[in-house]
Amino acid sequence: MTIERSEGDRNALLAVHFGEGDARSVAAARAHVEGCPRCQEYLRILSGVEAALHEWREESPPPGLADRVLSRATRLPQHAPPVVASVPSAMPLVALLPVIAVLLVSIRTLAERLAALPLWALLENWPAVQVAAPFGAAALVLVALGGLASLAAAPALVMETRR
Amino acid sequence: MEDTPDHALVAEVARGDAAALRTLYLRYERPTFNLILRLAGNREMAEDMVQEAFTRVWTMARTFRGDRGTFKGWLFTIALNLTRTELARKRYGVRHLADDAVEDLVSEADGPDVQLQRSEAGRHVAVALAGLAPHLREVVVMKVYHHLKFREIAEITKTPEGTLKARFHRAVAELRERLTPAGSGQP
Repeated sequence: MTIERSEGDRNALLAVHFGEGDARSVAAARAHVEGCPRCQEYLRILSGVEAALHEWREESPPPGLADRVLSRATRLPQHAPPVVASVPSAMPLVALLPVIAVLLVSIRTLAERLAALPLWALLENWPAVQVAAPFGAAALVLVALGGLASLAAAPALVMETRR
Repeated sequence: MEDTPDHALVAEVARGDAAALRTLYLRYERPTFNLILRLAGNREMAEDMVQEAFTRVWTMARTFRGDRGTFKGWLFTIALNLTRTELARKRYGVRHLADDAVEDLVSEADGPDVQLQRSEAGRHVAVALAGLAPHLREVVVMKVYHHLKFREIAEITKTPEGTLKARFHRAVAELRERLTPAGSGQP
């Protein structure tokens, strides 16, 4: 008799044979087996092969192996555990508030000093400067935000690359 | 210390306690020895690999993570990996051969003590197992002799359960052929 059948059917028979798997599935498979000669045959094959394998009984290790193993092993130094550094999540934004404040004050101070320059008084009347100024300010803000984001993520990125 | 759970003993081993290692060793010497013996079919190799496995337990105890699995699973993983590596080196002889060659090899590996321990039927089984491809032998040995669940074998071998079950079916079919006495129809 062949033992050809679908993978799922055969795995259900393994569950029945070894009593492995959830109780409901095993019970359903058992109920099926009761009326299925082919499945009964496969279970007989499984049991027969398993019983034959147990003809090779457990063997004893040679006497003296324990002393040999233990004396050799304990002479060696123990390895340190791998450094599992806790990876910090992105730096809390609250911690960045002072940095943001300092950045804003610096931008404002720089703007005031630039505005006080005689050259700026000359330049601000130029139409090209008037058009470009809002874009320049926007670009400056974006660069500042990008810098802050990098700063916030840096610790996590550094730790990640070290893992 | 005899009743101390494995994970507590490993923690003691990690602190350099040789007595804890001895307790773990005595608890797992036999299963580990027989696992390797049945995977490799060679007592000399089994002794060497048991030694190597418990040396690793001593040196690597601090890396054991009890929340990720049992000590037995960790130990069997170490033993399996050592055995695979050693079989790949073929220092102890090729282990996937035609039946005649395997029979010669298994007989050569048997010393007088084995003759006493292993029955004729046992030797026949050793030959049949040695004739299986290593990945089929692994699942059969762990399932049949060590009664591990497929889930546990999957963790040890890093192989999906479905694959292991398919291998088991294949191994059963091959073993049935190898273990069936000619004309008997029974394994």
